[in-house]
Amino acid sequence: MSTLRENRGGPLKQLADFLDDRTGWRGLMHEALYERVPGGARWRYVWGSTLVFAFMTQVITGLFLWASYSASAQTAWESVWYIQHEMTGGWLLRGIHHFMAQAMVVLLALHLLQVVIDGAYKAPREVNFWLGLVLMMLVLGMALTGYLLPWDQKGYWATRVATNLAGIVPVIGPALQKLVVGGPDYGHHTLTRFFALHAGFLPATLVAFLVLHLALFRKHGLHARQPITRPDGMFWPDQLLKDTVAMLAVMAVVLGVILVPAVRTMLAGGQVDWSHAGAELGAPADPSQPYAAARPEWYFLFLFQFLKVFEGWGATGEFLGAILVPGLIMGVMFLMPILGNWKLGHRFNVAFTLGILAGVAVLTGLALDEDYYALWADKQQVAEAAKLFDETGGDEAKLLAAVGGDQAKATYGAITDVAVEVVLRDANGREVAKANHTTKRRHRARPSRPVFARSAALRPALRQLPCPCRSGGPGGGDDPGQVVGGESPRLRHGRLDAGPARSGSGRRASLLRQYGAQGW
Amino acid sequence: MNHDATDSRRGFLTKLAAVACGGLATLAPVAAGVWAFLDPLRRKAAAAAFLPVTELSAIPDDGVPRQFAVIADRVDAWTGFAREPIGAVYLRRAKGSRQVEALTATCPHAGCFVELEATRCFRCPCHNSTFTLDGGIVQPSPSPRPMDSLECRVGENGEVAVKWQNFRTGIAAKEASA
Repeated sequence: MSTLRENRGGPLKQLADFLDDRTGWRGLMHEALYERVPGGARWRYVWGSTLVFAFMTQVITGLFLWASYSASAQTAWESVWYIQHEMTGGWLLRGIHHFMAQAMVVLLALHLLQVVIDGAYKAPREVNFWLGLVLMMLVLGMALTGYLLPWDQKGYWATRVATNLAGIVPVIGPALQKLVVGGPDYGHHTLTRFFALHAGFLPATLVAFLVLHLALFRKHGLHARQPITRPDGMFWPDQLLKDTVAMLAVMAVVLGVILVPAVRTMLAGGQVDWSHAGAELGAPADPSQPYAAARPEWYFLFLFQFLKVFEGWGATGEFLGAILVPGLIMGVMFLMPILGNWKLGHRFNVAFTLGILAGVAVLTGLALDEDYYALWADKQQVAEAAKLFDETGGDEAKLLAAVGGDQAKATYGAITDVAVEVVLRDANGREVAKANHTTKRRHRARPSRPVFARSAALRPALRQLPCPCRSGGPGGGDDPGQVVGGESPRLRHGRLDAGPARSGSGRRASLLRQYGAQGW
Repeated sequence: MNHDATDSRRGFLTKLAAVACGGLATLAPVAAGVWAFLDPLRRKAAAAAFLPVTELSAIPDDGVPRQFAVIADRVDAWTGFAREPIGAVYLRRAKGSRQVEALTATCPHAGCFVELEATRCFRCPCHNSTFTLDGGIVQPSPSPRPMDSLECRVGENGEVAVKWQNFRTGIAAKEASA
């Protein structure tokens, strides 16, 4: 039995000694922090730590969001609206959670890439690589389940698609779908189940796997990038400093995404509406309204696009595109540590990973591109206008000259990227407000983030509406059909503004949009 | 300065920088969370307002209190409720009188629902605070004050309205909750 130390030194040191004698915390800290880093600290080792940090951020913001979220079909959208528009700092809290989730997927890809390129999956670290892949699937699972929770059009329709695809899994598909959805229909039970998965089962499982992942990481030590040219360093503080700087950078990017639009508005002398900063909240889920912008979050877009490859194949195509091929890819990834033992195995693994990432990038780009063009009726016209615009640098006089004085054509060139006239009508079809919105940045025109949603010009009109406006409009095939909510949070009993809106009492304003102020 | 001292100072600065960066990065989610979490502190109780409760004819003029529900439209954070019970009052009037006395059913001790016991007295089922029919305190009592009376108005057509409000419990003064 150890003898207690004599009390010496200042009161802080005395307290530390007292606690150390009784808990052994110094030994634990030493154990936790003093890990040798062969070849010294490097920036390329930071990704794992940034992922842990991102997860911590999600736990913190998630718990605080939980304190104001109500998972039911009647209250989920409303409570998220309340967080975003009514609670002080709610927009920031939601914004951090929303964008850190996206950052986490990017960090995941970087971590995986670094591990594969460095060959860190090879013996004796195979099991840890597998644990990492499980962690990846858990993170993606949380991303998928979190998407539904606001119960807005976007999450609702995307989840319908995702769960319907789960339903085509052979044999167990229909049962699986029913279990996930919580019955034959989407509603309360879907939300409570997704919420339990998102905030309970999945993170708890993730923590368990993370503990194993870290334990094995410590057991085998850091896999050093060869050749080692510099002297060894220590995890604390050498590597940890790099790690924390990277964490800070990740947080800065996330905060930047949330704050930059607001700062730009401020610099332009405008008034910032903070409740519209950060994460977007679409119109409430409504099975009776068409929603052509049913897209998954951008990091799942490649899967969405991949399915289109099998268009015309029917159910077989769905099975191939949504289940078999992704399953095979995951299978190959699980086999990587074994494949790596072959002579060319490592090269294959690196090439495979890079190939998959390139494929993901191409498919994502295609999906974005198609959606962009889908918004503007005529691809040819857009291309023509863009070319004209590029050639003349947007200068109106030059433009006019280039098209031989044809004013109509010149206008259409000048408005190249996006010119949208937004007309807000009440239920009787009367015009409430009109705004022209132009942007030079074409890819903002993604359907899930329609250009008009944040149109500053439209906002005063939205504010005057008696109720949060809901998606509406003609609901054509390319209709993004959504608008960020208006100002009134006062919802009537049960469902927000649902019944009377449909019966045309005039309380709901519908948003009509016409492409091309100049006729296209 | 010897080599060790430089090393240890650089080590200290590295440690300080690491802790500062980590702390700063973690501060953002914590601060955003706490900021939103403190939001309820801004919320104020609804202002007291006269709410129609019943008709004069529904209150027998025998001096015995009768219990009535207070119904009102209510906005509960993100849900609006139309005509929902928000509390209860005891109303009574003397023989032939048009004057109605109103007591809130909330016990001034800890907020339980005070019950009318066999038309003789009020008793709170939680800690046995007992009150006379006019709300007066019966000692000894855990309640720091008599039952809270409410302003009451009787309209020309006999509609009875009560100025509904909640009071802080557990203190001797009758003070509206903010």
